[in-house]
Amino acid sequence: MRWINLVFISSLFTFLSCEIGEAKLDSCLDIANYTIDTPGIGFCPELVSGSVGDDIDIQIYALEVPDVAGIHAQIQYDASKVDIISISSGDFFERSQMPIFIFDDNNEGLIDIYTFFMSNEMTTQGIGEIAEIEVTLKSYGESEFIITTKSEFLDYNDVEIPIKGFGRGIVNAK
Amino acid sequence: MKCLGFILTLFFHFNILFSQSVELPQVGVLDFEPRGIPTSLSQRFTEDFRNELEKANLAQVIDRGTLLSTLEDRGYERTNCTTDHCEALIGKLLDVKFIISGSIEYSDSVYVIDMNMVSVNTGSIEKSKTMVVGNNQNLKDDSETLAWNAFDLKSPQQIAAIEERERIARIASREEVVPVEIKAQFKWPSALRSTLVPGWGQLYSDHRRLGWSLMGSELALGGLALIFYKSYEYQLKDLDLYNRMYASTTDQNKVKEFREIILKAEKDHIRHIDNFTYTLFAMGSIWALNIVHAVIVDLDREVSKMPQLDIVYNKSTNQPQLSLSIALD
Repeated sequence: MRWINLVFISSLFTFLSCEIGEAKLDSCLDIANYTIDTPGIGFCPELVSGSVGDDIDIQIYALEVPDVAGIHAQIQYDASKVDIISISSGDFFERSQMPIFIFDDNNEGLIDIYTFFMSNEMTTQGIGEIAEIEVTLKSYGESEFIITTKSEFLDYNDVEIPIKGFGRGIVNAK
Repeated sequence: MKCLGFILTLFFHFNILFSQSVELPQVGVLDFEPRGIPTSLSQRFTEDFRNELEKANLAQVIDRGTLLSTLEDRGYERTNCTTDHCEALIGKLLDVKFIISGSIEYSDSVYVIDMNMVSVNTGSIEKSKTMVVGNNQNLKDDSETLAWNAFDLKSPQQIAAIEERERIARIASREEVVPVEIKAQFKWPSALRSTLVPGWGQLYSDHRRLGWSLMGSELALGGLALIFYKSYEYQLKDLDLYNRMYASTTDQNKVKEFREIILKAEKDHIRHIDNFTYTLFAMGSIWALNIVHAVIVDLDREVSKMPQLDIVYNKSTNQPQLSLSIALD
């Protein structure tokens, strides 16, 4: 009879158990997930954790930018704590005509990314991924990725669009 | 004629048979000598003894007055005549078969009664009896018993006592000892029932209104809890769906819209969980109270079975006193 009791009790708990639902609002396209003013350039996610030796992807986003045709994003990082493995283009400027995408990593903690919109629409707007950086965590502790003030948004006439927010991302190596 | 002769013969024989009576011995009973007791007590004992001899048709007793006058006429003093020979002489004077004499002595809180029956013909003691009696309340019974015993017979009291002893012995030997099986009564009937089903114990213990109220409350709260639980389940499914739609959309406007919907769904979902939890707490509280009440009812029942101690006023002594009563059910 003991097994009947066990089945009864376990089924009772199964019936009454409450799984707490959770809102997963972690979309990189959601402006509410950024802590900077717009228009701006930010990291998604702004805080990422991993173990030493792990490879981590950090995405760079243009946030609520109006009619942009070209972007220069300068990123400062701690070269003693992370190694840059790869840098790839995001989908913000991706259309039928692929964008121009150039980056320069001096391996001393500074990356310059240049990308230009090449489609017939001439410009685009809103929120979109500019680039994705894959890094390897070298040592324990936090290291920062900072969008410097030398970064630029340019419109179709090569006129600079003022940037109000410069994002900051934290990578925590455990 | 033959028949008439037979009847006459039969009548004649019956007449002879019934006309014959048993000849009782004539006895003279001298007053029992008092030793350490009042004379009146020994005289009363002697009188009872005489009466019983006559009443029971044990002997023909010379009455006391005749006996005393005969003794006085012949110049005898009762106190001087203590030997068997002297008593036999008195018997001859009285023309009786036996002279009964004796003594009653009080010592060590008991009465020792001695009785001698002297045969007038032989001048020797025919019978001698000694009785030891605890108190003087039963001296009348003892005198009667002594009267019967003087003639080697058992008194009615003795016969009754023997029969009673035999009857008890017969009953004791006949009756088998049947072990009485006393089942220990379960002490918590209401509590057990209320633990299983709220209100059941109250219904069992005749608190019907409370029992139905508890049962109804639990059913209502149970229904409410089920509604909240189902609402929670629906909201959880919605939340999961909105989460997936939010994650998959690339439209910035849709992202904003889904965010609001998700936050609202999450809020509702938590509200339903809270309501469900509060309802369960309420159910649990009522359940616990119902058990506590049932336990109290059971305890109360147990207490009522216990010896009851009261302070009462005793009218005969005009004083308050403690009264202890025990229910025999």
